[in-house]
This record gives sequence, structure tokens and C-alpha cells, in this order.
Amino acid sequence: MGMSLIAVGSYLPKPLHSWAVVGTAGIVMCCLLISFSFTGNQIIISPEWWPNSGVLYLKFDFWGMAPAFWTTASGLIFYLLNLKERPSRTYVHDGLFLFVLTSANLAFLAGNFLLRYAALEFAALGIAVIQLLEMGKQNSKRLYLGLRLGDAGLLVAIILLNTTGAPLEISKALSLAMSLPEVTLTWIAAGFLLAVWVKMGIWPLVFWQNAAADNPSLMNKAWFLATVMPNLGIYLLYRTAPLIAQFETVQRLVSLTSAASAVIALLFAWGTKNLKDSVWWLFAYQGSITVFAAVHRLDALVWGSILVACLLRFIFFGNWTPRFRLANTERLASIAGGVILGGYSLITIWAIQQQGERKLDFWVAEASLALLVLWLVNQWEKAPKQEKQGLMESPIHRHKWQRWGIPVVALLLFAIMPLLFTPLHANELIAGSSSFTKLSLISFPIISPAFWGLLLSVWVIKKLRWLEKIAIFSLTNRYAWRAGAQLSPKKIYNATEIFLFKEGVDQAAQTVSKISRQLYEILERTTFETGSQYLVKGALSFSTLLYRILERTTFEAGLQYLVKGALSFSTLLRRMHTGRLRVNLLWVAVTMVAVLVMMLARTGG
Amino acid sequence: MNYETGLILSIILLPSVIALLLVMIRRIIGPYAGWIAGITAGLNLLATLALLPLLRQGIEPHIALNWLPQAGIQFILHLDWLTFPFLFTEALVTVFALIYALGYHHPDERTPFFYALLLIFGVGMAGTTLAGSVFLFYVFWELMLVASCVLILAWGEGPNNGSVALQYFLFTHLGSLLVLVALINLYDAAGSDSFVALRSGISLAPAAVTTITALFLIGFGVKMAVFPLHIWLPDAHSVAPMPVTIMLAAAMLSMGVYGILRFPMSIFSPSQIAMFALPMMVAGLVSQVYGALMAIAEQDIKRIIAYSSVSQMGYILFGLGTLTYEGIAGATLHVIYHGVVKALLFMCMGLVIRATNKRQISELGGLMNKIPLTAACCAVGVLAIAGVPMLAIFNSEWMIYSGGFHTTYPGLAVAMVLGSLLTVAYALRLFMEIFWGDYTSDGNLIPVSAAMRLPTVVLAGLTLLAGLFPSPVFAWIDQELTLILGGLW
Repeated sequence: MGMSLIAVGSYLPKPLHSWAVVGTAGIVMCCLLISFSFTGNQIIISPEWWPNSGVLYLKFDFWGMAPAFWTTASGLIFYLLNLKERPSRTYVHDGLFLFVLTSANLAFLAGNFLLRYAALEFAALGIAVIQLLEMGKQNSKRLYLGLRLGDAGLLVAIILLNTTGAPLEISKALSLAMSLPEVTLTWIAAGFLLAVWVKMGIWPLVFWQNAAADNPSLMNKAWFLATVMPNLGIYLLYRTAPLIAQFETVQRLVSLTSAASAVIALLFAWGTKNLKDSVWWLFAYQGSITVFAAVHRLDALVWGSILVACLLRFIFFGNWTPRFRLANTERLASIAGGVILGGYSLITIWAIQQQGERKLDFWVAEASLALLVLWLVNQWEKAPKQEKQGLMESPIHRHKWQRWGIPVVALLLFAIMPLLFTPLHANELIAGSSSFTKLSLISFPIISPAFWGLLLSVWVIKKLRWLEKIAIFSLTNRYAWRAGAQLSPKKIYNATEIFLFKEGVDQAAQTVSKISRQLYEILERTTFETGSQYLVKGALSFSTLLYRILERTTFEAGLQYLVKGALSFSTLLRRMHTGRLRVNLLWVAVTMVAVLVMMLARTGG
Repeated sequence: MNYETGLILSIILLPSVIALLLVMIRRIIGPYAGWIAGITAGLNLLATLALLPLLRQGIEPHIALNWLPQAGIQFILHLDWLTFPFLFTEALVTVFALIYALGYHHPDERTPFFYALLLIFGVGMAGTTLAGSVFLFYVFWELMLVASCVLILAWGEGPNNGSVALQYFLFTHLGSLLVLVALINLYDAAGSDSFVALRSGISLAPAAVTTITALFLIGFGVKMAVFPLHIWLPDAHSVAPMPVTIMLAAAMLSMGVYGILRFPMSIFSPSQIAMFALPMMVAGLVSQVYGALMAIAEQDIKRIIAYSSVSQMGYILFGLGTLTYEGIAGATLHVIYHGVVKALLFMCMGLVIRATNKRQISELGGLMNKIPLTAACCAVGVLAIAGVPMLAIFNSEWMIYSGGFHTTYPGLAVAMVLGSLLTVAYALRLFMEIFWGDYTSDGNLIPVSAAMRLPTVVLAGLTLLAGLFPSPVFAWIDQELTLILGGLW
């Protein structure tokens, strides 16, 4: 349908495009829902693409179909939200939407690595073409090259796995891979991790998404960039997590790296002035925490991260559309999304804490959670009073059903519908979630040392200024202050509410904000962006210089000198041997004598 | 003489006779020279395809005549599974190049010579692959060079065609001389110049094997135009008329690959040439990266594709250097797929140049809506060369990388995979700078002949087909490798 729309869409009336897309996406969703009943079956696409490539088939697996369903549902919702803001060449965009949707669902359901790789490549290609249409050449090139970097890692992992004797069938390959030697498995895991890191847009491989921040199209930002590739990355991570966590060295390294990137992503979220840019860093943070969960074998949380991702995208981007805002401002919606993200991170870090002793990576992850809390507080402080009071009032909505319709539908699609089909997997989910009801989950943030350590350390930094203020009090004021500081409920309330929570946390938040803004300016803008620009310019200049030196100056000029030298030599010889018979005869005689002498010397010797 | 020997003889004789007739009775058949040459090439392709069922039945057509019996030199034409993929590629590319030439070449009094030389160029390549003896191999090898050199000299575009033709001749001839020295040494060791005698085992000291293999690799490396032996290629490709460029890039470069497979890899055992594995892989990697960097830096669209050939030959050399089944299979597959895709890309560039009269990439842009068919075909070619699945080259690249991972140097294979990102970079640049953006040129585009568009579209379709249904070609390669690897390997 997608290719047909692109091919003949210009001849069809515009409303028909939308109906075609909505209808097709709706049918896909229905088929996926029905397919939940056929879990375990397969559809063979091709017996063998080339020799030893294995059977290309789709596997009806709940853990793959649910993400496909959520991704399709997200696409449909954002498509509907974006209906009034669509660009002029709608049929091409619509066709590409269906093309990317097909590729993504193929990737979710593929049972063969070759088919999955091909589907991921097509999805990347479709997204790159969308960027080309909406944002121009540079952004499209940057995006496609970025995604191809991830796919290069995936290709290395797949081929290396295949080289060890594992088939290209995903389940068998991954189970056979567990018995591989450490060195080989490390290469394979590194390849998969590179793919995951890029697709999920985790720092520092988030550059391919950065260009999208300027894109005005909701559909492009919300679904093509923020939903499809990250969901595919999360699902890839879910399937390959056992390989990454197989050996302790790799596990520790990946755990620490993901925790550190979570901290850095949040610092950049603080540092960006525009809220719409900072949400991308929140997505990067979510990706880091998901990898953190994967490396500690919290498979249920990794898989559930896809649902969290879809909900977050809906909350963040859905609220940017004027017609269907949940809240008056993007900021409050971002806070709501941040709370969900914080809850997910809390559960993840708590669950890891249950596994065993805390190490450095764990402290870093806790610190990232503290930073998220501070960010949320900062956003709340920045929101004007009127917005907080009129939280759920929106003058734009004419009818209440317009305000509540989309969230209800989203809730149905994301949560309830798949849950209807989980009786088969209820035991797994219940077993995975039973420990969440324990009281220790609630008490975890209260007793978490790193969490409070970060909050208090920032507060203490600000407190030093208050000590200065206290120092300038006169002795009289000090006596008066001490006399007034009687321990009473009102005074304690004032001290904690105003001094600690209000002013203290606010000052702490502003301090962190300043630090992270500067860090963002230094690292991202100055170092990475400028660095990558210099790298690209340097590579171009190096290529041009190498071209001039080697091709033009060395090779061409060298060859020219060689040819000139040969011609000059032959001219010289011609002059020496020209015209006069006696001179030529003399040369012949000398040459013959020389040859005779050499022959005699050889035979006589 | 029977049916199969008649077929292989016709592949050599028919174009030669037609070329001779085009020259001798040009006043009569001159106006139809292009059509006659095209039909001849088409018949050649059909003859090549007619040989496939015979090969599948296990029949290997063979003609052997005594040429200089005192010297042990024979006239042998032989077809086997190693020959067939290269013969097919050459025949296919020649047909499309000649059809393309119908629209590209402006008829004048020298037209019969032009098409005659194109046919002779094709005969040279076909004879190189069909030759069953060393002497005959070298004769056809040089015939390729002479025919292509005259074509560049007489019909080259630009003021420097003379010096470019001379440079091309000198450099590739130097490579040919190295090959000749190696061939003479083999002939001397075997006492006969037939390939069968060479393959049956010759006794050579290890130092001699090393020297001969090195001579072959350097000599054939010049023909393959791998770094740093590639300096003749960019100028030759850019100056030559487009049909000649297509045949040079898509078919002639593969003759170097054929030479490596036919001589050092068929005659010597893996242990004898194992010392060259790592240098070949490294040279392949360097060539891949260097060619891609130059393609990124280059401004002339023909030269961009030319440097792309240097990069793609790097893939092939890497695959050969792995000395593994997957690597060599991938390299041979890459020869076929590269031939198709490179011909497609050059045809697209020819269409762009003919329509706009411009070759500098900075002067082009916004042509997507002006020449949509060319844009679509170029998109297929660009995506194929970037290694997108379902488009031919992905299949061969997979096999080459797989071969690399089977060696004890997996890091080199990882470097090759990452280096392929440079291929993506120049491919994207080529397409987007030419076809995207605003159309800023003055005036309308020049209409392009259907004879130029038709083979372009067909090649784009073939690229898709080859990517979607690779099994038949894989079967050929499997047979070829059994021939190489089933013997001494």
C-alpha cells in the first residue's frame, strides 16, 4: 500500500490518502491483535534467500507482537494528531509512513537475522527519505549515516555469530552463542550494543536525532525519530541482553557506561534552554536506564520499556499539538512524563539493588535518578502559578470528549488491549511484578545513599552562601535570632518548608542547572558538535589534500616526468645514432664486441 | 567441430568478422554500424547463455589446435565454471554498452571504426576468459588494452585524450609485462602453455612461487586498479566516451580478478600463497578507504564513479585475500554485481551529462523533477553500491565480510564493515547533490535518446532482480569454487 501510494498518489484525491493510511494501519493493528491468538506459529517468506542463509520467516511471538502493536498504535495516533499540519506532498509522506511501519513490524516479527537486518535497513532508509523531504540533504545524510553506523555494528555481530557455526535463525543462534568463548562473544556483544546504542539514541550516539529537534512536523519527530528506531533498539536489546550480560567484565563495563551516559544525558537535559530539545535527552536517559536494566538481566523491565517509551512519546509530543492538549503547557506535560520516567528508573534501580551488593555503577545510576528528581522540581518551579492552577483546563477544547478521547484511546491501545491477551503470559508477568509490591520498593528512595547524597551535596554548596549571610549578622541580630529560634511547630515548618524545600532545593536546582548548561555548552556544542564539524571538514580537507598530493602532484606529475624522461632519452639516443653510417656502424661494432666479451666470460669462466 | 565448440568459437569469431566487415565495407553498412554491432553483441550474449545448460550437464567445451608445436604453444579455447561468470558479465555489459552507444555516439565517418573497436574490445575480454593457454591468454589480454587505448585516443572527450591514452597504455602495459614474466616462468616450468598442464602440478622452488605470485598480483592489480596501482583509472574513465567507460569499469577491471583466480589461486595451493593473504587483505582495505575518500573529494561526476571502482575493487581484493570459501565466493559475486551496478551508475551519469552538458557536481542539483526516470535508476544504483539489502551488492558484501571473519584477522573485517560507511557517504553525496535541492540552471534540459534510457532502466531492474533472487548466480559461483578449491585447496 505504501509503495502504491508513492507511485500513484498524485492521481488520487487527498482525503483518500488519509483513509488509505488510517485503514491500512487499522487493519495491521487488528491483524496483530488477532495474531495474539496464534502465538507460536510461523509464516515463511522465503525458503532460503541464498545458500545457507536459512529460512526467512515471521514468528508469532507475544514478546515481538506487542511492541509491533504499540508501535503501530503510536503511529496511527500521531498520524491522526498530525492530520491538520501535514506538508504539501502528502501522498509521499503517507506512503513512507506505511513503508517504515511495514519494515518496523517485519523487524519485530522476523525469526531470521538476515530478515531482521534487511527490515531495519529499510526502516532506516524510509526515515532518511522523510528527513530528506522535510529537512533537506544535510540532516538526511547525518541521520542515515548515523543509523548505518549502528547497522554496521549489527552486521558485524550477525556475521561473526554466523561464522562461529550458529545458524541465522535468531533463537537458535542466540542460544548457541551462550557457549562461545569470551573474546568472540565480546565482539558479538559489542556489535549488538553499538546497534542498540545508536537506535535508542543514547549519548553520545544521539547525533542522528539532534537534527530532528528543529523539525516542525509532529509525525516526523514523534514517530519516525522518537518511536520507531528506539522501539526497535529496545527490542533488539531485549533479545540480545543474555549475550551482553554473559561475562562479568563486559557486564560491569556496559553497566558503568550506561549509568554514566544516563547522568550525562540528564545534565544535558538541564543544559538545554528549550524544553522541546531537552525531551530528547530524557529519551536518551531512558535508553541508558534500559541498557542498565538489560545488563543486569531485568528482561521484563527491558521489554516493558517499550511501553514506557510509547507512553512518554505520547505524553511529550501529543501535548505539543494545540488541539488535543492534556495540560496547558508543554512543561507540565513534560513533568508528567518525567514522573513516569522517574518511576521506571526507580523500579529498575531498586530491582538491581535487590540482586546484590552495590558497586560504582549502581551509585552512578542512583545519582542519575536524583538528577531527574531535581530536573522535575526545576521544571515545576519554572511553571507559572496560573498554569499549575489551571492544570487540566484548556480553553482550546470545545468538548470534553476531545480532551479525554485521545488519552482514553491511548490507554486502551497501550495498556488494556494487550493485557487482554496476556493470560497466556500472565504467569511470567505476575512473577516478574510480584516483587514490586514489596515495601522495600517504597522505602528505597528514602534510604538510598547516593540519591540523598547528591541532593544534599548540592544543597550544601548553596548553603555555604547562607553561612556568609549569617556571618554578616550583628551580634545583636544573632541573639535575637537565637531567641526567636524557639523550637515550635510553626518555626520548624517554616524552617523546613521555606528554608530547606523551597529555597534550598530551588537554589540547588539552579546551581545544577548552571553547571549542566555550561557542561552542555562545552561538551556538546563546543567539543562534540564543533569537533564533529571539524572532523567532517578535516576528513574532507584531508581527502582533498591527499587527492592533490598523491593523485595530481605525485602520481600524475611523477608519471609525466617518467614519460618526459623516456622521451628525452630516446631523443638523445636518436641524435647519437642519427644519419651518419660510420657512427652507426661504430655503435654496432662496439655493442657486438661487448656481447662477445660477456659470452666468452660466461662460458670461459 | 560440434555444437558446443561452435558456440565458443562463435563468441570469438563472430564479433571479429563483423568488426572486420564494418571496417572493410563501411561505405555500405556504415549507417547501420551501431545496430549491427549491437545485434552481434546480443548474439554473443545468447551464445554465452546457451553454454550454461552444457556446463550444468558437465560438458566443458574445448578446442585445442597446435599453434607452434616446436615451442609447445597451442591455440586452446576452453569453457569451465571459472570462466563462465566473467564471460557472462563481459557479454552482458558489452550488449548494454553498445545499445547505450546507439544514443550516445554521434554518427560520423569514423562510426564504423568506433563500433568495430568496441567489438574488438569485447573480443579481447571474451578471449581472455576463454583462452585455455598462456600464450593465447596474453594475446587477448593485450588486445583488450590496444582496442581500449585506441578508443580513448580517437574518441576521448577533452583536450588531453592523447596524453591520457598514453598514460593508460604505459601503465597497464607495465602491469601486463609483469604478468608476462610470470607466465613465461610458468610455461618454462610446465613445459607447455596449456592451463591443464599448469593445473596438473608444476614443480617450483618456494622462492619462485613467491616471486611468480607477487608478479601476478601486482600485474593483475594494475588491471584491477587497486591502490596504489590505480593512477591510470580516473583519467581513462573520465576521458573515454561513455560506452567505453562502461566496458572499462564494469567488465575490464574484472579481468584482473579473473587473472588472479585463474593463475596463482588455481595453480598454487593455499599454503604456497598463504603469505600473501594478509597483504592482500590490507591492500583491499586501504583501497576501499582510499577510493571512497577520493570519491568524496572529487568534483567531476564521472571521476566520482571512477574512484568508486577503486573502492569496490578493494572489496574484491579483500575477499580474495581471505583465501576462504566465503571470501572468494563473495569476491566473484562482487565482480558480477559490481559490473551491473557500475554500468548502471555510469549510464545514469551519462544521461545527466547529456541532458545538462555539465560534469561538475557543484553545478548540478534539483534534477529529480526534471529527469525522474534517471533519478530513480540512479537511486537504485546508489543504494545498491551503498549495500542496501535486496540490491545485489549486499549479498556479495555479506560473503566478503564473512570470509574476513573466518580468518585470523577479524579486526580487518570489522574495519571493512566500518569502512563501508564511507561508501554510503559518497553514494549519498552523489545522489543528493545531483538530484536534490533547487534547480538553478538556466535553460531547458537537452532531450536524451531512448537508446540511452532503455539499457539504464533494464540494468536497474536487473540490479533489483539480482538482489532478490541471488540463488542462480550463487550456484555458478559454487561450481567455480569447487573447481578452484576442490583441487589443490
